Amino acid sequence: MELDLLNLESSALSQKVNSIMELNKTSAGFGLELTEKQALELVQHHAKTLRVSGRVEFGEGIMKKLIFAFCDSSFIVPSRYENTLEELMDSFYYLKNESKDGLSDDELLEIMEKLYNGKCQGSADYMREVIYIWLRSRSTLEIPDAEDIFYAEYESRGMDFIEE
Amino acid sequence: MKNEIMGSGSGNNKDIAKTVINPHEISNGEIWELLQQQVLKYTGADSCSVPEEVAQQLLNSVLYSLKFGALHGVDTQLPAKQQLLLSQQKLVLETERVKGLYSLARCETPYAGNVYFSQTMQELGIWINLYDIRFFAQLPPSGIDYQLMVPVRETLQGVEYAAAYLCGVLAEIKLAACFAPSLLVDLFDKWMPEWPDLCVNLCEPILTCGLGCTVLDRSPNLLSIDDEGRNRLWELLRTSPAEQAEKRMETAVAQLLNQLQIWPENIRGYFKAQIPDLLVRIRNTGESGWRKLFIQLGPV
Repeated sequence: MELDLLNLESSALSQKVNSIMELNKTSAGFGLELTEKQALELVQHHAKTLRVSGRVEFGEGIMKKLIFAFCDSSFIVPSRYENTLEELMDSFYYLKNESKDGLSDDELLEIMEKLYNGKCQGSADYMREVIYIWLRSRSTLEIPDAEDIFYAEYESRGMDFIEE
Repeated sequence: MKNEIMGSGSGNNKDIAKTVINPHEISNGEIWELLQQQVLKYTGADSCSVPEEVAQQLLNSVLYSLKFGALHGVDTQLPAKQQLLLSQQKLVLETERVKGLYSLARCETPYAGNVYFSQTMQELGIWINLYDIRFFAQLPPSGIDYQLMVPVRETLQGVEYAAAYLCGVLAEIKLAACFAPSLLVDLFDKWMPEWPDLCVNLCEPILTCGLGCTVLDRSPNLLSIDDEGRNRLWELLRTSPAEQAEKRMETAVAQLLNQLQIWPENIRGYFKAQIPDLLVRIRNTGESGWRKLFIQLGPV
């Protein structure tokens, strides 16, 4: 028996869309909301991302945690909310694979959130690059502060970091 | 048998294949739930996703365990979760049995002079200690380099493969134990001087020479066949019609095992099963190879 990629059944699809729409109640407080169409696109993008990253997801999935972690970010512009969530989702699964599952979902989300809202100033690409470089040079299982992860990227480029 | 694709329950991106799961009366939806439970245990609830290969391995493990359980008396009408638990308990028992077989096979035997045999036994020991019934029950031992006379079926998985392999090893050890170790070492040296470093089966020359002696109505105890015996065997096995030769070999194997007092049916069956292949090899051997097949031991 092979694990088989199938399209989501309509009931499961609407269930997912509904659960994302539910999260609007929380994110609306920060000026971020998704329309039903956007929520549907996000669910479809999620399925595609999983397929591309070669992963299988069980249980509640990562979407809810991702939205909770980032909905209070001052770097997310309402008009790009859906796109930003897609970028963050792509980064999440990419980094999950790169970490060889050595980071739990919560650990990775925490690092992402701190860097995105901190040193990377709302750049998902930069955040992904910084974490990727840290993962590559990681020699212990210990997880440093987000700042140390950021410095690791500087060191890898051979740049002297001058503390402000 | 339910054959429908179940909904993905908690809204997962994937479902499992349309393939029916014989012989269990378990729906794909139930299998999916078992897989979900296994993934949760595997990740320690730290991650809600796993790489596809891991999910596939965990699924294979679940399916293998259920199949094993069903073959060993687990009630297939029980809920899937309970079936899996009982099947895993059966696997634990089977692993214990395999441990017993392994300690029997660790006895002193001239085969141990062969590097492939001793390494394979070591690898098997490591595998038995690391065998992971919870998550990777279907994985057979790796590093099995020593080939048995009757190869283990490739379709066997997990602990069943190890059990079948060890049963084969024990049958071959049983035959070797009927002869003095020094005699066997002499036989191996004359058969293939580099035998300690070659990936060859060491039971085959014992069986071949033992059968040769029996076909000649001589005692197999010395395993030695002189020039006269070889010439006679050439007539009896090589130039005579194939059916006659096969009949002679079938009779000879029963006589040989009787004379060596090897009575267990499974071991007798193991050697009987080898006769057709052995005969093909014998009948394909030319005059030059005949001396290497039926060997004269001691000073020539």
